[in-house]
Amino acid sequence: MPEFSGWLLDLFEDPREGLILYFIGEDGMRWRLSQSFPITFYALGKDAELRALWQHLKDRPREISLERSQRMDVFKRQAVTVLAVTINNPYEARKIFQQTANRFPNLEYSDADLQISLRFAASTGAFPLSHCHVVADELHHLKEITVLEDAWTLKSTPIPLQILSLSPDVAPHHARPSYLTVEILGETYHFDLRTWRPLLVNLRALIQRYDPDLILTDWGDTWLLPLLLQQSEKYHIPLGLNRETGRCVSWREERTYFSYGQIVYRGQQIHLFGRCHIDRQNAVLWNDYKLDGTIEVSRVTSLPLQTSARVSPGTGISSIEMVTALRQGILVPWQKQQAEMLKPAMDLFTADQGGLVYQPRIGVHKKVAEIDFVSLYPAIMVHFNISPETILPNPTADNLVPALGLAIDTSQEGLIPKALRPLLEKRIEMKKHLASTPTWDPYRKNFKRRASALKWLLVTCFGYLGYKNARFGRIEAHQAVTAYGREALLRAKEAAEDMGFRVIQLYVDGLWVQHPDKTQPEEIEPLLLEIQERTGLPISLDGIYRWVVFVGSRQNKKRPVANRYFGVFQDGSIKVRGIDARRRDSTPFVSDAQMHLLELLASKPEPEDALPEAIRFIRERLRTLRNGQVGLSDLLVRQRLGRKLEAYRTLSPAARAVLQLQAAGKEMRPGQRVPFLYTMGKPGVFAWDRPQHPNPRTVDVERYQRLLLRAAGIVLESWGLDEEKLTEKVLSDASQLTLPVPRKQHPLKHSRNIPGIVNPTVNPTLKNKAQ
Amino acid sequence: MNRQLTIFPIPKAGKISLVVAPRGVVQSLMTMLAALALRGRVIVLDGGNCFNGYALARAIRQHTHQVKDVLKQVMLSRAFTCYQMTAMLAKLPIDGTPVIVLDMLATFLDENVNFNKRQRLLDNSLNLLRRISEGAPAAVWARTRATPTGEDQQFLAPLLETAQDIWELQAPEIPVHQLPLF
Repeated sequence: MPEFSGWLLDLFEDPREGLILYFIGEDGMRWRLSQSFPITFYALGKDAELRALWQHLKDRPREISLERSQRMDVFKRQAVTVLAVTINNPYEARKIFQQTANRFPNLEYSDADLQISLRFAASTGAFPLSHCHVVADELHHLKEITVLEDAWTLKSTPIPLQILSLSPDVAPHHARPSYLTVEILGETYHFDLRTWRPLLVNLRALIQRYDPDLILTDWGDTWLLPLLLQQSEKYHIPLGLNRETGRCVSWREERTYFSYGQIVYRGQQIHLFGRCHIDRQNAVLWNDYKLDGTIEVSRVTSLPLQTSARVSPGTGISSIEMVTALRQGILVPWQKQQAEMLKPAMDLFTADQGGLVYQPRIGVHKKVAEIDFVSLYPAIMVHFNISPETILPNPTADNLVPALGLAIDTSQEGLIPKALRPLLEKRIEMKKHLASTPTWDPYRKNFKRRASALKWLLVTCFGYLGYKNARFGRIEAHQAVTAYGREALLRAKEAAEDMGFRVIQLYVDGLWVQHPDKTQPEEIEPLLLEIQERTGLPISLDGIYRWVVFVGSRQNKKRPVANRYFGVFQDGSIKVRGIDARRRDSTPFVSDAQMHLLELLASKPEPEDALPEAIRFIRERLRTLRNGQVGLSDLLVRQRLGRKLEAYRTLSPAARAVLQLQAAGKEMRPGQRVPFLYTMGKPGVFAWDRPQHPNPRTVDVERYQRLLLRAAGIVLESWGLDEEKLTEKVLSDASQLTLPVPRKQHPLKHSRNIPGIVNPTVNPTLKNKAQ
Repeated sequence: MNRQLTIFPIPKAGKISLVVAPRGVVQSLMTMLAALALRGRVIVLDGGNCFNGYALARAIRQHTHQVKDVLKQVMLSRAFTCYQMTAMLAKLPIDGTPVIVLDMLATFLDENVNFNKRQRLLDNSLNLLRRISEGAPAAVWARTRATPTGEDQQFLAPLLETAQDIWELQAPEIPVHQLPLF
């Protein structure tokens, strides 16, 4: 009788055996077990319609069992009568449910479309990648599973994942790759992509020999795996991508959706059975938290690894809430019907506000402390028990929400706080642990990535409370969170002012304060304690700036913008928000230069001392630009295609680049980022992924020069060098340096010999006059 | 005083008034809403999150100083999905209170929901609206989009069939090129 300890790698429905589970044993063995796993969905509605449904299903006793039952409806705040439909084989569940919903569209349904891993986690406690002890019978039917480490353990035992990595030599949408690099256990192989038979034979041999648990690819979803499968069929060489025999890979369609006001594109997906596939180019936030963070997301959300890599943090939060609801016996609505309560329009003025912002004063501020509430909104939800079912419409209770005509029921912990509490506690614990972990510690990176994954989950949990498709979202709860947030920030401001601090800025969950005598972290500690005392919410010191600069808006320099600033902490580290160095759509040429300027300013005790060097640096960058010495890839702009091409009235540069790609037979979807160069003449752009090579002489040097000077001006304007002055200074001085060189030929004539490149020897003033 | 005038007549009980117009019509709708709110309670269902409280307050202010009191007469609820829109219409009291539905089709043009299901829910919603309009004034605004799709027309058609009073407004044509100034 098999009995072992190991990790749950994958689980999925099977038409014959019910549920299939794959485990990685501690001893290195890989186990395939099965289990009969009946699942239940619930129908709610009028008695007559429930009776009709019962009559419709009652004659299928081998597949389905029916029961009248009571379940908790979180929106009605009471138990309701439901018809429980239990399907013996989970593989059939989706089909049976769809048939039922189509035939009885007026009924409401719950627990209907949940991932099998969530149901398994709710009923057994075992979640994907959990470390567990397993007992099975001789037929490899799972009998018992005990979790050894829960999802909230800070230091979990590392999983001995066997990883096979596949990546082409070049991005396939940019150029045709010529070889494939395969890596496993430190060995690297290069396979020629022009000779398919040897590639397929060798790749199959590697998969058979090493039997990887995870296939990690670049463009595997959108290019590599579809191509491999196509060639494998053509040459009749099965690759064995699935560990589970007899199953085809699972395809999921590409999609475009809105998230936080931005259009997002996700390519098609290929999921495997018995092992996992992650496409690093199609994975969510891979650049931020890599595999360590993805594993963390999988564990805490109970979503399989290959799913957790591709879903948004919002789906992750939703999964945590659903598992909590299943464990509590609360109905998980299939389609939420609950709408906003009817309220007087007058209330909208007070209720429908976001976070509190006090605009900063533009310019340089020295010795400023930045203090932030730790995960403010999740902390509010947990601390004040905010959940859809705890909002009371009649404000007679004690726990009134500030400035809202609502109260919170604190008699019982709500669903959302219950789901978020362990996540929040783990994040706080992890943050503390990170602070005390030295930089040389090999686990620091792992912790940092996992902490980042948790941060993203917590960041989205507030938005999900107001999101239209969230199962447990409710707009009043969403409004209550921001109301408490504003109140907390105001109390923090009062505490700071009472203790003699000057408040420089307030921004949703943080405040920037200044005190002439309190410039060390330990001197800020009493303020933190006072704020914590007045608000009941955890707060921490982000750091003390040697200096911080708040810059004005692009449209109106005199108008402050709360989240556009940069500064240098006492330890020399730089923090940047909202300027080119941080923006994903700015060119590396510009953002790197801006960052270098900041480093120059940070390197001097007084930033003013760095100005001569900064100007020399800008001149040098402009010289390299004009001489064509900046690599074209450093001049790339990556803008997101905001809508379908036909929806544009005036084509943006990104849309013009997409037109060029379309002409070359390449399709782009809204939400995808389009890399392009600014070029001279019309259409003014060159799409980087066109089959042709760009001509470096056509690069719009003037435009990149403007972009660089604008970015530099943002950094230096607080020291008297705004874009205009900087342009005057840098360009005029540059020409003085080159003018004394004696020439026989007129410089203007010479400049025409190099079309597209502004000759560095030409004085721009002269050139303009000539034009 | 230069009072804003509503370009739409006040809806009457017994029929559904429909305004088919681009987003710019919100201001006029708020003026109409202000006129209704001055008479008593009004229910607003907002399908496109486009209710403009400030415009409404300004419109009320042109008639009375008691802006807050009149604003309290306007009862508002926002729907973000077609399920919510249908559920909200089903829950409305049929007591003669006028009902205004703003950007009703926005929630039904949600591609995340199956097309047939959306059509069924729209039919249900229109039936509910018909029932409400028997005893109370009911007005609906269907927003026209700059680049309409085939679906827009498919969902607008049943609404046009249901309504008795139809007002169709078009956005002024924006010239592609700058007109000569001299």
